[in-house]
Amino acid sequence: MLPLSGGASAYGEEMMMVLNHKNQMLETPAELYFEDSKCEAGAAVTAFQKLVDINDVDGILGGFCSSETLAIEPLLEQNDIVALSATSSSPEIEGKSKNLLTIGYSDAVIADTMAADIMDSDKIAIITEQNDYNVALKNSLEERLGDKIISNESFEKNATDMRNVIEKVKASNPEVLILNPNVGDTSINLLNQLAESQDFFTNVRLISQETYVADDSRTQAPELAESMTLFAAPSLDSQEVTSFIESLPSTVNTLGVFYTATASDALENLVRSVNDSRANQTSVQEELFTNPLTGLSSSGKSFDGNNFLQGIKAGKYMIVDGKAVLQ
Amino acid sequence: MDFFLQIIANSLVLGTQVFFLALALYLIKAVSKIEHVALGAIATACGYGFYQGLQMGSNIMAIIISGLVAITLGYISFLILEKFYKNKEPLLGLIVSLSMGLLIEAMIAIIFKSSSKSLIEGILPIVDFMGVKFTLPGVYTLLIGLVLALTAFLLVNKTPIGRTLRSVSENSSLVSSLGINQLKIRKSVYIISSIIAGIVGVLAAMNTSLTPNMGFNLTITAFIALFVGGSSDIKGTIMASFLLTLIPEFLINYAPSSFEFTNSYRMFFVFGLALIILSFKPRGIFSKNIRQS
Repeated sequence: MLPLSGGASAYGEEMMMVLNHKNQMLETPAELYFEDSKCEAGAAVTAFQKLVDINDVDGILGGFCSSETLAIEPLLEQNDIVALSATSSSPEIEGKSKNLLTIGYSDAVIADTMAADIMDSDKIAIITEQNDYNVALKNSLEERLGDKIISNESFEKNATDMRNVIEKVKASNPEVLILNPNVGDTSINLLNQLAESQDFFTNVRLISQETYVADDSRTQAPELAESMTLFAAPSLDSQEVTSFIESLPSTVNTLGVFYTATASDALENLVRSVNDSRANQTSVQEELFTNPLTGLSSSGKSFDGNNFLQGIKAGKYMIVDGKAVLQ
Repeated sequence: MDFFLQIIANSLVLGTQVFFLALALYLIKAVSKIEHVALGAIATACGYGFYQGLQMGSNIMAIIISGLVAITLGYISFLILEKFYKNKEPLLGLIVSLSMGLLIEAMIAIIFKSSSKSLIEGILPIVDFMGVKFTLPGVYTLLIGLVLALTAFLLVNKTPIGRTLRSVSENSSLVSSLGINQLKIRKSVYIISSIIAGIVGVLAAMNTSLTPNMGFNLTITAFIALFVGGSSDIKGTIMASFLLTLIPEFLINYAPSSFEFTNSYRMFFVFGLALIILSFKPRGIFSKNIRQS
């Protein structure tokens, strides 16, 4: 399940390319079916039902966005199927069905690291897009930052004009502004419209999450984005990861190194678990839980009874000369 | 004070965009009694036409292509919806128009993909007017909107053209007997309305970005403005377009903080206002009580 249309389609298309490539590298390639989940709950449920009812798949790789993953969660146990996400990070996934697993990191990890970094400031503003992933991160930050948040604004999903929200944030005169839009078009619009008040925001410390790691999301407002601090996926710089990325038929400008690795690992571990479950007469879920994972980013790590893979730490990045540089 | 004025300025730009589309809806309703809600999608299509022209490297080409898209879709709208006017089936016309709008949006998404496009790359030029900042497309929107509002108001209320427009839908047989070619008038109105929608499509896309469903929210607010203002009163349509934009913004920005109204409440307030106003004034906010036999 991937967003193959809509604002996050660039991510979905790159991930599809990674999965097709990885599949050919597997000892026993799987038969892959792709459905467009659009980064939307409703579309994800439709995609899930098609994959299960028509394609009769053995496992789901997805959802991509947390809203998709959370939407299909109630359907997993009744269909006796496992969904392994490579990217979903909403803390709300933890504690859900044991058929729902994600090998990305939890945003609770991001919220912890982000909050620790800005705890010295007493005037923090947040701008959040209204969807599951961003609202969950905002809630985590509210728990950690409390009264330090002086302006807590949000805008509807896929909004195009955020100028009045920005004005409200400006009126609160914050020292730190946390930008919390979803990936895709909205994040680009938000940064562009903030840049219309560049004089003001030059004096505000800008903080964000995974959304602005991709260089494409910052190209239209490079001056404002310079020195922005990002808390996102950890950096992976092993030779194995580099070789895999170099072997891909085209570049992964949007998906980034970490999620390229988790996409590859999700497929590798899902296919292995499905095959092992047949051989051992066990369930796919049991295979995933009892064995340490293999792959580029997940090697040796395990779920330990959790929905999130354990032992992943957040990375802190700074935008320097237009590039996200690990600190 | 700066915050207050800036919110007014931003909301005026949004209100003017709504007004453009509400005016286009008003004109078509005046001559055919049909709410042509596909105008939002036509606005979007013109925005994409403009984008395509820019990709070909020329502003003139952008204007020509978006103009041709507006005229073509206006004419197609006339061909499709005229039958429903003649059969006195405005509700069916509305449903067909809605289908047409969704079809146009789907076609745009297929051709141009769903990701957003920018008509102006980078940060928009800003105009500072006594401390209040406007984007350049925002200034164009306000200026063109002002001219359009005055022209439409004078044309409809103070000239024979306005009376002819209204009489085309209200008493078509009388209009024909006076030697007025009502078919030609309706055709022209459809095309002019599409051009007006096209202008707002391009301006709105310049002010933010271009997406296949960008016309949808504008159409909903404009559609409500048409009824809240009274669909037979252009003054009401103009006023309602701005009220439905300004009041929600003030509620969001000035309500006591305990309410925690965010920008996500905007459409909630728009629908709420429409519900209240239309409950008490079903013919629109500026309607007068008419005794009916």
